[in-house]
Amino acid sequence: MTAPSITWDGLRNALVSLSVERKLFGGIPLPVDGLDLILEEKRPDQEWARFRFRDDPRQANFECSHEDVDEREQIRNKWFSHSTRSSVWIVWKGLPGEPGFKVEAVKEPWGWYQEALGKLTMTMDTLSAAVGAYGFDAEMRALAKLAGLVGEHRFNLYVMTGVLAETSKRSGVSYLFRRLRPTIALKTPCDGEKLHFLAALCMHPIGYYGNTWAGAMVPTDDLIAHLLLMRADEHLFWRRCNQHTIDAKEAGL
Amino acid sequence: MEGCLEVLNVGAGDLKIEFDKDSDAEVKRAAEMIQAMMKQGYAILIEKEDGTHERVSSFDPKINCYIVGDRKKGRGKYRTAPVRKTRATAVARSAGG
Repeated sequence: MTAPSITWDGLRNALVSLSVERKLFGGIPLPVDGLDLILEEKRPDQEWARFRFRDDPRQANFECSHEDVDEREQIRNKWFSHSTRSSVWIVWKGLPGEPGFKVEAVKEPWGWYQEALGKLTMTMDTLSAAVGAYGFDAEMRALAKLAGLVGEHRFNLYVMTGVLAETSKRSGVSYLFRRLRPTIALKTPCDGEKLHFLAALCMHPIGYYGNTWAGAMVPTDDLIAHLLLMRADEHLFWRRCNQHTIDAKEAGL
Repeated sequence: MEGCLEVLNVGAGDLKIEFDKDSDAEVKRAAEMIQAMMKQGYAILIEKEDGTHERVSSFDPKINCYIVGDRKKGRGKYRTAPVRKTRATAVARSAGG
């Protein structure tokens, strides 16, 4: 007699039961082979972010020797410099207050080819996350919910294009809510002004997969979170989002 | 309007909690969940009768109502929305992006 095979749906359902038992109302995200799972930092179940499948080369348990890791060196910050088109890493060598402590800035220049490759990698990793993490039924339920929030015409447009547009009556800012991409905020023209890009707003409730645009929730649920927060509390929406510039890889443009 | 609370959820799609108007026990259970969610930093967004949305600032379990606005500022500065008659959606805190 062979053991029953485990399916992604079966695993997902098991996590649903576990999340109810642990009062994690948003559920427990499914780890995806080869991708980092980043959870909201105050969640008590951070062990899921450290989970690795058996064949994953980034195993959770790794025996360090004295030669391969210098634990006194650490990356303290990282950003993209638009003026020099480079990634900048701030590295601490040693510990503050100790003799020999140094702070170094390391630059990694990005040419146009690397930038395009970076976006392509992100696109492919997003697809990988979707294959592993998302249930089709959950996305269908989210679509049904969205249909009730936006009306037939705009819902049809969203299904066809993956984009939903809405202008805030409060602020006059126009938003392009996009499936599996950050929301674009635009200042709409008035009296001959040009359309002005404000920011690409990225926010994933509960968790997301590192270096992808994939949140832990199905794509339309992520979009619903953006839409409803914008409608109900626009300030909170902007506060909770990471705001990317138009040329950042993360903006998805 | 029938009251219900939908929690945007990673596994099964939305977790939907419907309030049985005739069951005080159901409403009490839901009230406990709402308080637990707000403590975990969930934003609870309620739908008004005109179709617009607003964010709940607190919850009063004694009267089983969402509170919108600031009660400390006195009458006229807040309003209540009973859970049995309000459609709400709960959104968890962000992990970033």
